[in-house]
Amino acid sequence: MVTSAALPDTCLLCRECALLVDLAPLEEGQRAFCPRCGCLLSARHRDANARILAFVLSALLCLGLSTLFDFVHLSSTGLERQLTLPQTITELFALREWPLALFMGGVVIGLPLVFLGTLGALVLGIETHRAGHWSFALLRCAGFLHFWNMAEIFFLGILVSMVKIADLAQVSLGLSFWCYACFNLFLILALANVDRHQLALAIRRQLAAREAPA
Amino acid sequence: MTQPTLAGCSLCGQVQHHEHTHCLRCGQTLRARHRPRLQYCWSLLVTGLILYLPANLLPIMRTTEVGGSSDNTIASGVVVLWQHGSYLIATIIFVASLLIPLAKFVVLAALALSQQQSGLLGARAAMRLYRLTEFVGRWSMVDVFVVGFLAALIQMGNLMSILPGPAALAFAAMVITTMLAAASLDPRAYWERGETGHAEHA
Repeated sequence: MVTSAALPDTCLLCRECALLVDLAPLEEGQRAFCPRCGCLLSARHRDANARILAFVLSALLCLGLSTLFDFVHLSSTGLERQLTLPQTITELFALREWPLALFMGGVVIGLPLVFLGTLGALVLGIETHRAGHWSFALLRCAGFLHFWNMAEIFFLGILVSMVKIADLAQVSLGLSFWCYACFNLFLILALANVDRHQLALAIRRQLAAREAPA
Repeated sequence: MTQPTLAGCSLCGQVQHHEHTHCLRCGQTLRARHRPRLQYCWSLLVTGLILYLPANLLPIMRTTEVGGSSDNTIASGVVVLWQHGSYLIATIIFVASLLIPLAKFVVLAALALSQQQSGLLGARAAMRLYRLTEFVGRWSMVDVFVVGFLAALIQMGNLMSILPGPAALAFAAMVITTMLAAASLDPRAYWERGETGHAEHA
């Protein structure tokens, strides 16, 4: 019987099929797959942490900018209406549709903001060699927020809405719409460079180095 | 080589005795592989099925125009879009709001049954279905966002205004319960335990 104490640090159980895998350290640009179920075990992207930080900051900037200008402009039979991104939520509050307004507010602005902040703080901690046990809490939090992140689905919803009302009114897109599109793009690019195993490995190494006797 | 007493942390990868409830290194909850977890999945699935009825039978959107007001369910909205020639959007809404939730109920039930009676689905087939279900499940939420966004945008008094119907919340709740049901399944239960291997690098 194998016990955890007898296993080298490179061993891990595949999260999808629980195969005990010996994962040799990866070179930059290399990926490792489970030999049984084909699940991606880990990927070491080139300059991953620097890229994540850059994309997270860009996404935060675009998200901030998307709240400042007009999102869409609608005109129909002489009547005109402009909407900013925060108004997509405040208008629902005004209609007393509170559950839907809270849900939309969380998904459109709140959750992505917290998610990007968490991811940024986590990677910044690793990059400045200040990772600690709190970094695991951030990693756990980022995983949870990633599960509920639906910013890209909201964006698809906007596109569908535009096509739906194209026959009824003239719709033009404002600067905020393009900022929100860029925010989605940067968020996807940041996530493409995130590898949970590599982040956990970096935290473990920094913790081990700090806790080792001098 | 066997490892019947080992469990892997999904967060930091630490391999440890499975009787621990939390990872010794990072504190992550170690997923338990026992029946209550499956009961949790079944209860969420049944809740989702119950919510599917109001989500599809009640109006999801109320449109007020000069001529009067009309209520639209998801299905009638698809029909209207199709009749207006918006085939692509009608197809997206039909697939995301009607087809995917139904298919998800069937697939999740098959996956849960397969965990109860091993051999119902092959491990590889179950794995493919599980990954697909996890990926597509959230996209059903698109219709809720469409309704929310249109309700916020189109408020032009009696000329034209849109209000969300009761089905919007029921639909959102249904998508959330099926997402949680999928997340409560443990894909590791489909595989034989006790094997070891070396990772394939690419």
